[in-house]
Amino acid sequence: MRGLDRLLRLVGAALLTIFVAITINFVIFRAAPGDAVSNISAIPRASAQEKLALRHEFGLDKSLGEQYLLYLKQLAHGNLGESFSSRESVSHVLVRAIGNTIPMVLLGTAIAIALGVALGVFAAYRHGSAGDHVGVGAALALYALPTQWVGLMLIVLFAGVLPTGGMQDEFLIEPGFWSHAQDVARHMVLPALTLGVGLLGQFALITRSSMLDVMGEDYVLTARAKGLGRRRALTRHALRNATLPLVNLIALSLGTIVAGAVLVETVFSWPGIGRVVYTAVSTRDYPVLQGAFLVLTVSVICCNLIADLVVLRLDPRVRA
Amino acid sequence: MSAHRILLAAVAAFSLAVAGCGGAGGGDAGSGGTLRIGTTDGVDTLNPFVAANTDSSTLFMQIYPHLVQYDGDLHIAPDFAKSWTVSDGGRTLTFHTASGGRWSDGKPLTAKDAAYSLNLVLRYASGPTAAMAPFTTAMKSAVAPDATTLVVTYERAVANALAQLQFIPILPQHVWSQAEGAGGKGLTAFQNAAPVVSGGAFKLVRYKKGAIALATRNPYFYGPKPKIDGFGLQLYSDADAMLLALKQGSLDTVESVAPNALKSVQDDDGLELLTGPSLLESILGINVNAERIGHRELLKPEVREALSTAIDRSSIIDVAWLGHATPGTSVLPPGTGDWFDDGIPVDAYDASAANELLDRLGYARKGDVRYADGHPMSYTVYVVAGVPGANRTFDILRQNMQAIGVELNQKLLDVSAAYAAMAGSDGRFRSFDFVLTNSGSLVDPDFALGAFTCAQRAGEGGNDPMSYCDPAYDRDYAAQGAALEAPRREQIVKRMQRHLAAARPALVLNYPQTIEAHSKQWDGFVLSPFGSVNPLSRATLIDVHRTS
Repeated sequence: MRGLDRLLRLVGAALLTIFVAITINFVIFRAAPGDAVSNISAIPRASAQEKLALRHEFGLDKSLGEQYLLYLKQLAHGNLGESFSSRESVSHVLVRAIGNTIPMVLLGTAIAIALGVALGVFAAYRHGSAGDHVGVGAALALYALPTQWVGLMLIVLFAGVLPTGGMQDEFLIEPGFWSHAQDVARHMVLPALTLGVGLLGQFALITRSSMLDVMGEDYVLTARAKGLGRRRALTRHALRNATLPLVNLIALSLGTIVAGAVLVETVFSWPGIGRVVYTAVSTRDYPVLQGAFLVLTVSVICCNLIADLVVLRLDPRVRA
Repeated sequence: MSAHRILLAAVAAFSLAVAGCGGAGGGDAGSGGTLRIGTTDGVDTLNPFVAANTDSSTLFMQIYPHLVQYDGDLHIAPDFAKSWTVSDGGRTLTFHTASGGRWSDGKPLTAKDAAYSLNLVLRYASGPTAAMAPFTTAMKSAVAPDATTLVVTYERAVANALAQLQFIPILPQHVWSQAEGAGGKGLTAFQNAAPVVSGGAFKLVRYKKGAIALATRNPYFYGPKPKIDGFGLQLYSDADAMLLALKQGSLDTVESVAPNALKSVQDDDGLELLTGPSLLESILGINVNAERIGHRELLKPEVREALSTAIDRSSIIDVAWLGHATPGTSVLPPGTGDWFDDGIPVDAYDASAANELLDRLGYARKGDVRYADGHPMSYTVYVVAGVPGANRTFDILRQNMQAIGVELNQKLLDVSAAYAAMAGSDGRFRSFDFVLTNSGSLVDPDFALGAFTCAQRAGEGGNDPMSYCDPAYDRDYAAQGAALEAPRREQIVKRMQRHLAAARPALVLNYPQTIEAHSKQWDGFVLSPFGSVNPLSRATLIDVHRTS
């Protein structure tokens, strides 16, 4: 019963956060100076009458309160609205973009987890040694490097070996499934690696810190006293128990790195959610911005919720 | 093997596997080949009534018929209209259009499609077709008495009627009449998804927003057949990555090259560089709104002359454009061809002369800054973010102005925010001082010159934030708009340029060049102020071909 109560409270808090985020998303973009119609580049030499017509069509001639209520009403019907700039359904725009972003982000996260955890375990295993110092230094350096710089360096290093722009060879006419899959995979390597390199530092540092905590626990010492080898005690007992903070970090990362992929997508011309947001900001495309940030907010909140639930399940101390 | 080792091995194996995969790039190596074009602009939509990007207009030029286009010398040339006559004192244009043309779906392409398209723009000019309405000045109607004749009537003679019509694509009536909807509301919602029913030299077969627009040869095209099988506009969000793709052979040409990347192109034996005049200019716009609040000294032409004389345009060109620009004089850039008045002298850099001018006005220095009418000559410059060279240009401007006791403060804003800031809280454009931005022109001078008429003052509903207004200038603008004889119109247009050069509502700093590059495996590029592949003409995409 206590577990159910806690679950309901978590879900309730998540829903409330989403509602607040919806409201903030609505207000914040309208607070920015300029709007879709004031950008004269959209209609060179448009007359005042034509601008009014456009403002009316976009619903920008209504009061903010009316616009907000209309927005909520649309959302209640599952309608994210229509893009000001392309008049496309926002849902279509976002589904297409997120569909492109997710595989790249997942691969990048997998790279970061694999390399980061390995580096963290190595540093903890060699605690205090030169290897530990080098590992920690490398993790801190990678954590601090600007993502776009890493991307540009990888482009310079791998130019000619791997594709440096786009999601696929767009000039291939009707490729077969495997040929297409290979092509997409080749294009995905560099952006995913950039994302992975940017993230692995934090995974390494958290793993190392968590491992060091756990390795000092009595049950690890007991295992060692019972004759279990150091490496075996590390992987069987310490690493498994050190994964709790990692679960949180992974869940939170999955939510935030979708938004954080903006720079990677820009450098590698990856047609994902980051590029959509970037373009929508410059054209003050409110419906797309609201929709994109709603999706990003919900993804962060949901991942957060999932992390809480996983920890609730994994760690008996939290349930107590 | 432990779990993390397996994971590591899997990621490593995946990376190696995909890195070793055979390259899918290289494009179509068929008979005519596909010209792979890299761009940082991109096709934003396939709907001409919604599109804002230049690449979208370029695509429409290639896939839709246009009554006329520009030739290599920037003169109006036939396209779907093979000839035309002007009658009734310029109020009637009769076009004789190509016969036997078909849309890509096999339906006949006739003058009736042209009449439908023009009337569609007219019918919803205040609503769904507003984006194209500025190209139908004074147009009354369009009628197609038969399949190859189109009669367009105007309320009055319009000197640049043909230049305006060059911007209006002829759309398939059988497709768009279905999309129109009540009150034309369906026009902007229509996605016009690929494959698009096309009538130009190419038909659009694939479109992925934010990635590619791919077109292949249209077998039913009424004009000369292109030598290539097709072309694609691939969007890159990073210019360096795009240039690298050209060097690697993943692209055949790129629409633009930044000045700082020129050397690497010049050093590459496989690439050829094309440069020429553009339709762009870098300007320092001054708020000359007669109702401006504060800093009213900026309304004095002598002050604006002093500011212009204090600017070292050569330094800006050397530093911000690495030499690939020319000093600015007229509000019409050199890319307008014959319309550009090359006789207007550059405001020569002379800080002493500028100081003298301001001294004469009684604006004495107190410390480092002059005072005009009791307040310091300290101004805010809205610098439009993303404009190439803007930050470096501002640094030089600030130094130049310091030398004459004028202080400039930078405020970097994106284009929407800059426009809102200039408009001010009352939307009257009365309180800003300067804006540093790039301004664009069309080949025909009407559009750029019209921006400085009283009707275009932004606070009055127009689009000129500088809010320049002079009835004498307006009279000339009206006169050039009705001057059907080219020499007469050219004379008025040049007078207007001299008028603005003397009044200086915008200090024209320089004219950046059009710079593009292509692989030497391709030839036949016809450079225009918009680049080789452009919304003005089909010339390049008809002529371009492999060299081997």
